[in-house]
Amino acid sequence: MKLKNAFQLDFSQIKNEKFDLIFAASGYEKRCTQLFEKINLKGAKKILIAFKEKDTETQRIENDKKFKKLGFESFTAKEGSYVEIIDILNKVLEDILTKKQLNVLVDYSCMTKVWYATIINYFLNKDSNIQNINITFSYTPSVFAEPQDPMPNKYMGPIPGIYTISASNKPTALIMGLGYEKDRGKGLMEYLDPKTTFAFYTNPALDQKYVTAVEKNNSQLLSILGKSNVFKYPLGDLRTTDSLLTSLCLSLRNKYKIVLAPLGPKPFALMSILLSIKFPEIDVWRVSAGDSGNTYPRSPYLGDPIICKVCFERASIPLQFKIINPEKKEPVFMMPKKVLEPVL
Amino acid sequence: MSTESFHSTFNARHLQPEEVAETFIHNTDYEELIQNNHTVLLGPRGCGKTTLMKMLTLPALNSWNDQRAKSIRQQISFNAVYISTDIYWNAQKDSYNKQLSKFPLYSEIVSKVAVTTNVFFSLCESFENVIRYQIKPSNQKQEVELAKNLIKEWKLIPTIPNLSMVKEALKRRTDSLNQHIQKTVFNSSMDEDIKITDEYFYLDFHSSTEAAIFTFERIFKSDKNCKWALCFDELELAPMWLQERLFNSLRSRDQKILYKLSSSPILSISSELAATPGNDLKLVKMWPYGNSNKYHDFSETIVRSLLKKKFLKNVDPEIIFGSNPILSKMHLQSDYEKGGQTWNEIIQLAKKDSGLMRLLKKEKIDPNNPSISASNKVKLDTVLRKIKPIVYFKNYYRNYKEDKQGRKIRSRKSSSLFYGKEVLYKICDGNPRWLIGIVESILKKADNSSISKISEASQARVFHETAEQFNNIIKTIPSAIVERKNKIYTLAGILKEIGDYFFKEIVMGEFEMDPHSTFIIDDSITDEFIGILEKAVYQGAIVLINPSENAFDFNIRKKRFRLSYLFSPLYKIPLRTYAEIPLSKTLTEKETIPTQTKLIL
Repeated sequence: MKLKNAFQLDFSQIKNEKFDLIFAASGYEKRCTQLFEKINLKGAKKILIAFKEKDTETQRIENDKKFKKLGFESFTAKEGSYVEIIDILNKVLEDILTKKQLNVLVDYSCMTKVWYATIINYFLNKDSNIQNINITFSYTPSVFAEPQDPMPNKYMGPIPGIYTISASNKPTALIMGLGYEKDRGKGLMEYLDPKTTFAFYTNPALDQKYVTAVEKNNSQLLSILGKSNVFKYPLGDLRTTDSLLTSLCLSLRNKYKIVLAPLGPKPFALMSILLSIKFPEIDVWRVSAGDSGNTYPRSPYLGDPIICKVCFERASIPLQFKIINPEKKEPVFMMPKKVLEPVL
Repeated sequence: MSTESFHSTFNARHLQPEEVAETFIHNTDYEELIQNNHTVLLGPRGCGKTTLMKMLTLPALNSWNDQRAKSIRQQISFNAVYISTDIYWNAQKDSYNKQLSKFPLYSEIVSKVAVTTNVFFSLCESFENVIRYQIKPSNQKQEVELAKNLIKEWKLIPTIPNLSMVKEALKRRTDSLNQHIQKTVFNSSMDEDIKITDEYFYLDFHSSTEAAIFTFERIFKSDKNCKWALCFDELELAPMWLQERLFNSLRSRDQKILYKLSSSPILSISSELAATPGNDLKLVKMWPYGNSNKYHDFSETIVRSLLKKKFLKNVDPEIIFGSNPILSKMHLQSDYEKGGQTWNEIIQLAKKDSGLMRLLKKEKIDPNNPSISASNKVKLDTVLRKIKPIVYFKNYYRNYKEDKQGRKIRSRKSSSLFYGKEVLYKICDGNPRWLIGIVESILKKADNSSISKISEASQARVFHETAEQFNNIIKTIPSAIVERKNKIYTLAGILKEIGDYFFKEIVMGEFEMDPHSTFIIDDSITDEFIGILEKAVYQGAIVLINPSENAFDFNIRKKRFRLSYLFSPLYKIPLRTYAEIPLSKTLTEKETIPTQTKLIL
């Protein structure tokens, strides 16, 4: 399978759409169930992946009940487990994989990057009859919650399946999507020790308090990098985000081994993962405090979710012959020319 | 330092060999490395291992503009193949590779293919360098013949026969390997399910490399007596099978291939697997231990070269940084004489410290006039010199208070004890990357047009900021934590416990002539804490004081360490090694064990 194109859609365009398969996640955040109260669930196979961590939080129990009522088949997995997600998919998708076309909805608002990256990779690599698959990714933004002191890192490294062994000694270029916890980005930069570093952060955001927190808690890093290495992107405008990210990666890829590290809002993480599928030599890293991570209430924001529809198709020629010619600029990951207004 | 990334200021990993040569400063470690034998460089992150390894390659040697360069080029009797370890080779150990946990055999094969492909790639680069620098004029037909041979022997897909295209084909091999891994992970459930049809999966890096070298020498009719050195850098990141194999290979004597390896001070492999150092194997330990002053001159040379770069002429470091009264070896006599700075410091402390008063009386030194008279001159070495740093620190920090934001709120005649050229040479433990970062940060405060001393306060600020930055790096190291019940112990928290313990004893406690400032990792320390302390050794956060003599160290248990001197401004302890104490004592005697809320970033 290869990535054909991707579109940002308005929520009204998917509200009544019929999906074959729906993935949701249940954790302690209030926004977990938000999307499913307003979309068409009829006829879809509904899979719920619930966190093994923090499963006694009141909101989590509430969410589980709601999902059960909505008819979701429930499984559990650890926050960073790649293997558990594959096992779940193997269990539930046997029939689905016989289809030629597939329309899937993934609400990644409460999923970890490992989970949704694995779902994508599964469809790309699993032997199946599928010729075309559309995956609609939905993200429900949350109301601003004050940042907490970061917990110690348990994991800092590539997302399983989103990295490649290489045979060159290219220096590393680190591109981070900053979050608002203090100095996480700077810590990653010190650990990875790249030759060059760039940072993205969302501005404008749904709530400018978020921007203030990002700038305050990354002030040292932002000062080190200087204006030329810092990019701002509007949270709800995937096209702009993708365009900035893709242009930067294209300018760096011949000279550097690129590492994308989305530490902030999930739409940036999704863009990063999709970009690495388009350009497999790009790695995507994550930083995680694992089950000791901070707990944020994250109530849903009263607005429409941010929707990204991604189309994959079976590659017509064996992938190993698809050599990327560095001289030939490949088209950037396609977005529709006419996009809806950003959510902001 | 505040405007720089801590490690990136000068990291040879990012530089081409030619760029490394531009700023390379020769030292005794390099002399050891260029000998015609197996060599292992051991040292913490940033101590300059990569610089030395890259300085073995022909592009670096031929770009090096130094009076010694010509003779060293003639002296080196091997062609270096520089191989940088990639963390992704470790297909079994790391959590991102747990995706292969169901396939133990396959994951080992993947790891070997990754290593072999990288060795081939580096070998091609070395062939290109030898052709460029040593075989002139090069003959294209010979390169074609070599490339054809490599394509056949390394089972590469057909490509144009030249070395550049062979390297491209090796890159494509890794693409193919990556796809194979993904297909396997999603479509197989155990090793037995996996189909491996490509022959390249079973190539061995050593025998294939040796064969390629013989082919090269035959085709280019190059010097058959010349050896080839496989220079594996940063081996501590490599998979265990490779570490075991390479350290075991150091036993071989009749070799075409030499090994130049670099790794962390403590090896992870089993002690039985490593060769014993001797005539054919040299160990180079790249950190100061014992009473070694090994890196003083090296550090001074670096500082002088940075000053020359800044001011475009030779400048005495003392003019810019001044001299530190505690560490200075100059004007010793006047310092201890009546009216001298140390004389005054001793009198000042003796008035309020009954412990010092008792000690001086016991040693028959007059607390009101501890000058070097005929009667106490002999005491200079045995008492006064020894107590000098403690006296200064007690005088300074007992009156020192910080507000909640960590700002000093009581001013004194000196803004800090951390300034001066001696501090600069000592505080970095021979780590050039730290030294360059600190000097460049201090020099930012200097005016290019006037060569004058940078204020002690400015210097002290940089030392303090550097210590904090280093501490922040320690905090971000992944998995440097131990979880017990509801508590999390972090490496940074443990180091703070140790630093605070020494501060309380040296500065705030009863006056001792030989207080504790080092620790032995005793049997009470559990394995999980050993694991994170080993990470501290690799980062240079704790320094091994008593490494095995001319032998590898495999375990940190029962070994003696001190905190990196870089932490000294943060924990307010002198740049000096005192008596040892069991580590467990510094941790368990605390009233409170570090809790989760205390130890987070």
